[in-house]
Amino acid sequence: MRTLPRWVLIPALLGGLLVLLPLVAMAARVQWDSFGALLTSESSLAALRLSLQTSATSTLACVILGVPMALLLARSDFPGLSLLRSLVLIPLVLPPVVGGIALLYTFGRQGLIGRHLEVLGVQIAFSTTAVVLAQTFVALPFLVISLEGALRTAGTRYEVAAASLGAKPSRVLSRVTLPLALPALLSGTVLSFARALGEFGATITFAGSLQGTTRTLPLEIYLQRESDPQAAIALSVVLMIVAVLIIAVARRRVPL
Amino acid sequence: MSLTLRATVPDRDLDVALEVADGETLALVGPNGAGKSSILSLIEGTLRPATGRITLDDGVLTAPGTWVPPHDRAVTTLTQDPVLFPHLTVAGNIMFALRSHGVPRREARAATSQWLTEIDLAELASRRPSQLSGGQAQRVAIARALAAGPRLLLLDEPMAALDIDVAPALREQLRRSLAERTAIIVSHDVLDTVTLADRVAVLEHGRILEQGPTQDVLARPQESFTARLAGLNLLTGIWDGRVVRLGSDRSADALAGCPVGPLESGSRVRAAVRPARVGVVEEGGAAPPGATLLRRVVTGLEPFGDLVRVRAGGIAADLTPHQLAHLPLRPGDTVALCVRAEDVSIYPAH
Repeated sequence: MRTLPRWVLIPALLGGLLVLLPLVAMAARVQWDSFGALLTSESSLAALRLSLQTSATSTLACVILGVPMALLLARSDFPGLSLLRSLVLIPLVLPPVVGGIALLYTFGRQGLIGRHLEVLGVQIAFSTTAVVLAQTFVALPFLVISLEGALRTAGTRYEVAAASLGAKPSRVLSRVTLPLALPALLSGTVLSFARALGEFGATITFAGSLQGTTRTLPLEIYLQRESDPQAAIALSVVLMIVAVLIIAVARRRVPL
Repeated sequence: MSLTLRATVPDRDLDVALEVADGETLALVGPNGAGKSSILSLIEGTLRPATGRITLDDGVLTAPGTWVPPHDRAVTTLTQDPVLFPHLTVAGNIMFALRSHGVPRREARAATSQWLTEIDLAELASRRPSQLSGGQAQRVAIARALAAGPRLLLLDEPMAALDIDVAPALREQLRRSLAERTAIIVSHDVLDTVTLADRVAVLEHGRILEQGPTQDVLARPQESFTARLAGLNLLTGIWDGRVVRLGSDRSADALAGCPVGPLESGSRVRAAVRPARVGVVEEGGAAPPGATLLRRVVTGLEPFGDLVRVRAGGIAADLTPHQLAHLPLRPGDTVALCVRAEDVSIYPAH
């Protein structure tokens, strides 16, 4: 601390205010007497229910797809591995709207895969499935990065020792690799859930905004902000509380 | 459970062939980077040779077109790092080895408590590895390795990381465990080699320089590394039927000693003498009857226990400080080293 010049304090404080002040401003506008009623309105409840369902489903999808991805990226060695590792991060830096467009041209009616599904009578775009797909697309890198990093840091010495004791690869994975990486897996899962819950751009582009079907909490907030600002604030507070809880859980696992 | 290995690894400049008989413990010794750990990696299946063949009993482990994965080799490695699984208890670690071989849970539990009793750590069964001392952790690692029922046990410097006061107990435990087992041990410690190994193979620059029964190799070393390990001075010369000529010309030193077995006149021989049996004669002094005087230039002095080790012309002499006080020994001085014939053993050079 003594080695830092004093002036560093000023921009640092300004940055801190930029993060915290809006939260305080929003909390100050909450009308606590009607808070419960606003949250339990039909459209709010529908959005809440849908958000929890889709986020839980996409988080599960992230675990099912992301754990094997992280294992392969961390433990295998083949040409193009580092390129692949970078490509996996694309959803992280891609504007979500662009992700939504890309998904639309993959799974939409005229899309690469969507047109074949259409023939089979399956429509994905503008359905709840589309919401889950959009959320999985944007949330997957969080789980993969978190787990892959932990696997790399942990190294392979315990796995080599387990094999030396005669444990088959699937046993090494389930009894050694994954238990040791459990903290990272948990924090990665929590981060994926948070990202899925907050997903907006890809969802509205690829899934639209149909109440009860594709209108998740962020979409509901955006819609209510004009017609019923108090409802928008109440829902925002719910998401804020979830965010604080998530940080409390994740902070203990990984240096965020 | 006998092992045969023949392998080359050009990347590591390794070209070796060795055998370990059933129930035998082989010590691999050699300077750092000689290829000892590479040999263990080849056997455990974490390193593929360019050419070669490794068999355990009648089963091929590694050969052109054949590759048995590490977990199917029944070869278990014990390193200086116990590598106990941190998320399992002490008992859980031993259970892991048994369960990996399909031992039913109930039997594995019973066998685990037997192992724990054997290593005297039954009261620590539910501890986590982080709550163990280094010596305790290594004992658990040994029990875990043995519980895996390996056909061949590899020990890579198993005591290198331990405090000097816990090493003896562990060495004794290893000695008991290795008595009937086929094993290979890599160690820098001559004590490990003497107490644990039936045979020694000396490795340098990826080649095996000499191998044989531990007693023979250490008593009659052929290589300077082995001589250092055994704590001997090693001199090489020609046997002229009576003494060892240490050089080619007529004025070369003639070293008297005791031949070990018959020696052929004119053949290359080695002479070994312990540094403690090398004396120094004061300037102008004569050699006692039956002793050889070797004039050498002092290269260095270093403390050696309660003695001082004087190095001169490749020969080490251990002198008491009292002896040293009467001699002007500085690097560069010429010193007359005195060796008695009965302290020198002479044997053929290979």
